[in-house]
Amino acid sequence: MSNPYESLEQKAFWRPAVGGRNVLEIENLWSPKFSIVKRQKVITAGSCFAQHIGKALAKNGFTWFDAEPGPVASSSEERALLHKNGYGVFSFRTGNIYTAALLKQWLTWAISPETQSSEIWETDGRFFDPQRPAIEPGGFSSREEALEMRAITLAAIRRAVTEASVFVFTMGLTEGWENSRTGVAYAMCPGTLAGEFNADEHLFINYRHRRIYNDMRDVLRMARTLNKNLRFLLTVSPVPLTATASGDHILVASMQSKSTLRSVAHELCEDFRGVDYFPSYEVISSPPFRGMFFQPNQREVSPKGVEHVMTYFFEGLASLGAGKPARLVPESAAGAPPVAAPSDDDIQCEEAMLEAFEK
Amino acid sequence: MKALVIGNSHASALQLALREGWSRPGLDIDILVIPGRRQPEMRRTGDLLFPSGNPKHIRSNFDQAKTTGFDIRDYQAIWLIGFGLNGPNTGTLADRSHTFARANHLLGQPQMTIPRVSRGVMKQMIAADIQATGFLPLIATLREYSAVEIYVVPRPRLSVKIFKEAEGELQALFGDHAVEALAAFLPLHDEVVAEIIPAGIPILWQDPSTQVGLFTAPRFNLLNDFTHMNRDYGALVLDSLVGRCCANHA
Repeated sequence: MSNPYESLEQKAFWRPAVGGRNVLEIENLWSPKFSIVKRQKVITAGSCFAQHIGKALAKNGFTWFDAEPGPVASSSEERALLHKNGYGVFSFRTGNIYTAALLKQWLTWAISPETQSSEIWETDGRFFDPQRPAIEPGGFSSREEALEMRAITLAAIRRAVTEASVFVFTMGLTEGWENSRTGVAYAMCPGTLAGEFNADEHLFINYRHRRIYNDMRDVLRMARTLNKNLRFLLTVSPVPLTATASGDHILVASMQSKSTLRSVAHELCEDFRGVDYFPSYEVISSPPFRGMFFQPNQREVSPKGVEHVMTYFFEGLASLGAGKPARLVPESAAGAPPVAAPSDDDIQCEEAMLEAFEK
Repeated sequence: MKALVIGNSHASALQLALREGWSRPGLDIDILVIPGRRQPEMRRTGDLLFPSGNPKHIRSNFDQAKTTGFDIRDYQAIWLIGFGLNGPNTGTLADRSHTFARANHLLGQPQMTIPRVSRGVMKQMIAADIQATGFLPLIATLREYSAVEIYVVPRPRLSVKIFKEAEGELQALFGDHAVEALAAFLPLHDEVVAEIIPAGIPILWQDPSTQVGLFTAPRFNLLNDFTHMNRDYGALVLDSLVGRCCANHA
């Protein structure tokens, strides 16, 4: 008597697909729902890991769209300086967007700037945007300038979402901080990178599955009011948390956080057209890979790991005939990228700065 | 008194003036013009300084300096000419000005004139560009080596003609917004220059009488070169330097 398993492909079975193979030869991990061709604009945002995708896309001839370019850099020093100030890191100068709540907030403000918060933090005469406190390490010269520069970024988000074909968003954290009075989501806990922590006003939230799902659903809907054809490619950052305010052990908190995000990503793919998931998280974090792609601190992903992930990415696209490069250009390849893509060795991870507070 | 002029291509105006007979009693001037984006770069060996780069491109009234070097202790004053954005890169200036001046093309709102990047980022970019020239290392070497008086002369403003006659990068990039873009940018550039030059070194800013608004008056153009200036301009700079130096030595 036949049963549904009899007709399944090899990839559906652990032994032939994983257990019986050299782990580096695991195949067909990703079957894309849609193609990405080189002339289509791709935008990237999210946690640190999204920077690798933008960089790899640009280096392999895809159109990584930088909607908020900085001044033209005439040397590697100037390029580094611009990256340090958040240019060329993501498709717009938001810095890391770790939570769905923050992404929703950015998009809401981009579409309706009049709804944005005017809260700006002042420290020693310099001014910081609570939604991206690390974007200018030295702070802005005035409150007005901080808000003007945010207006530029909101315009860049509008333009990016309107013109892009694909939005790659890397989900990073479930933990975040909000203002209990205004409901405004912060990029980082106030008082860590900038600002001053106020226990009466600053509220820790470990966003649950439903809230993250709803925020992402709203993001999809809002983005498609600007661009009805926009497709989303979700990834979950394999990078564990630097610190948790949940009260749990950091290892437990990391697994909880990543599992929730992974589950939300899966459901979004199931529930919405034009939404796909790329399994970078699995390639780096799942047991068969034995943590081989992590740096010795067991947190950061090694260049080899990123390269391996991106091989799956481009092979997946190639399976749809989407213009596979003749040879994958690894991140370590010499030479300047064809566009001002995120820099080679300057991945911006604001959350990692929480290490400064460890005892 | 003996002075040494060291500069990039902008020092050519002073060289032209000297060649045409500019002089002052009791003043000897040696001049070393080292054109190029990262100039003037020098290396020190013992008591001597040597210009780096290809000697064929170096212009000097004391040719032996190109190969045998020179001793700073022979001079009472060093005049550094052409300080500022990296060499003759009008394109850089254009990009920086425009980037800083307006964000309307990004915002899709022509009436908006807010800068596209912050003052902080733009100042860092200008500083990085200046750092890439040879001036600051040269100043450090000179300071380490002797107590000789050092004066800095920033590069001149672009000629006003660059917008009126040249089909140049600025015109192409800026269109009608050229003046507005530079008006936002140039004060910031000057602010960086003032901040980046070590304390105690006087800066001789361009004489306002040589300017038309934000630009250098056309009578100081070096033919159709809208970046570099002529002997008349060079003579005015020399007058100004001598005025400051003589006041100090009086």
